[in-house]
Amino acid sequence: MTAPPPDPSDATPKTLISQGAEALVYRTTFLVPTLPALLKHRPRKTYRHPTLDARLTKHRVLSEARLLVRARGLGIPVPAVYFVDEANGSIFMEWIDGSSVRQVLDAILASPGGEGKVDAMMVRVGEAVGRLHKADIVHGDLTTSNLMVRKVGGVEEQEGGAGEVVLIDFGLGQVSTQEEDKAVDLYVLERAFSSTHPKAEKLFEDVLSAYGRSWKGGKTVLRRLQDVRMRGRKRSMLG
Amino acid sequence: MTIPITSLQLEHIPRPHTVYITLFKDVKNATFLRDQLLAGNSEFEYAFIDANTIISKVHALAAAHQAIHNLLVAGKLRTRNVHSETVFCLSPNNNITDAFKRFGILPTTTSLLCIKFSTLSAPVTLESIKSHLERSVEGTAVEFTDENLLQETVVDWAKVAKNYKIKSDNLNTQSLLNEKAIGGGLKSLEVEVLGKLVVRTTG
Ligand SMILES: Nc1ncnc2c1ncn2[C@@H]1O[C@H](COP(=O)(O)O)[C@@H](O)[C@H]1O
Repeated sequence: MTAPPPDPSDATPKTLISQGAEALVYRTTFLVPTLPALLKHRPRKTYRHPTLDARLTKHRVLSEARLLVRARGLGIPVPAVYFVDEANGSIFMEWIDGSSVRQVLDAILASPGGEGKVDAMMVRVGEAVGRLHKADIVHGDLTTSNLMVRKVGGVEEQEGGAGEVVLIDFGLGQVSTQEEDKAVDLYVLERAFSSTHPKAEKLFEDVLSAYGRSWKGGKTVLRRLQDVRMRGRKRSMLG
Repeated sequence: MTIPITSLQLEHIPRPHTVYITLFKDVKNATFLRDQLLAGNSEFEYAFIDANTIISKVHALAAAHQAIHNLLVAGKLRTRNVHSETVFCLSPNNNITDAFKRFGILPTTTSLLCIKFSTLSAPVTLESIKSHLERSVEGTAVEFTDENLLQETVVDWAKVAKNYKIKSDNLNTQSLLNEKAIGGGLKSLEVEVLGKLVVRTTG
């Protein structure tokens, strides 16, 4: 069984907002024109055997949807899943109105004294990741682009204060109880912070301390993070 | 008497497919309507849903959307037709009999949501449905809106809590009416219910 091609009779408008190696991401609507939604579509890979491709696509789509549903059910801030079409490789989910932590940091840190304004946001990032890990879900690709900040009352995040931090893109996520996996999540995020902005590196300490406070196993994962950093450094010295 | 019918083309479903929806309160002949379904009377091919179990438009439309999707994907339909499938798709589990008992019309039903699809193989017109429902349902038709679902046909919150295994603490009309939509998204209770429907399909 192969995944059917995108339906040409689907007349609902959709706007491509991102095109990754695995997935096309659209802004669209669901059920009614007034309900905004995000459509994540994994297109067919023609170089793969069709049967294998269909099976892999189905597996990945279901895995991503299950992680989102599981997280959301536990009150962890992730987009709600609206509908899954696993044969076609599509997930429809809640549209998060806001901007990425990356964009917020870029905007705020560009202004003098901006660091002081994002403290609260750093705490919410640490807490969100902490809650995810407490539920034994690892993200697999924690970057500042995969953390969104919801607009509050239609206003873009400016003071780093009020907006809820939402974790997005669970395409590489998995269930894991391993401290190592959780520490690697944090390490990836740390690297993302330091490459986002020179000033952001210091801010990451706030993320980590909020993370450490946010759940029982947090401290152990932070200790494990030291090991992961060491290995990371050795690897980069070896080139 | 002329009754209001909502006619919709669901997003991402190919255009010729149309869904017609009518909401009735004070229904007096539920037993008769249910008997027609049980007898397989093709004139009565509707999704007849006990409206007490429906919390919002989106809730009902999500089930209708999943049902028509199942119709259009070869081999995916689990029940006899797209109408019975809609009732099935309201369920958080894969037990078909259980779904009809929980969400379908019962002899005791007084609030009734009627959903009818016009499909490629079985096109129907708004006029024909209208006159058929006018003739067949003894009740008062009200517009299919969130407000009417909450206040006219009345949600049975205990049933909703039981059906979807939701903690009943904040479960009532007032909280759903009060809660402002977050960034144009769904209210948290709708999200929770839709999540349960997705779990049925993803396992
Ligand atoms: N649920 C969402 N709501 C709004 N924007 C999103 C959402 N998910 C992803 N995006 C945006 O789409 C981009 C690509 O999505 P992804 O492939 O899931 O990382 C992200 O960097 C975000 O800018």
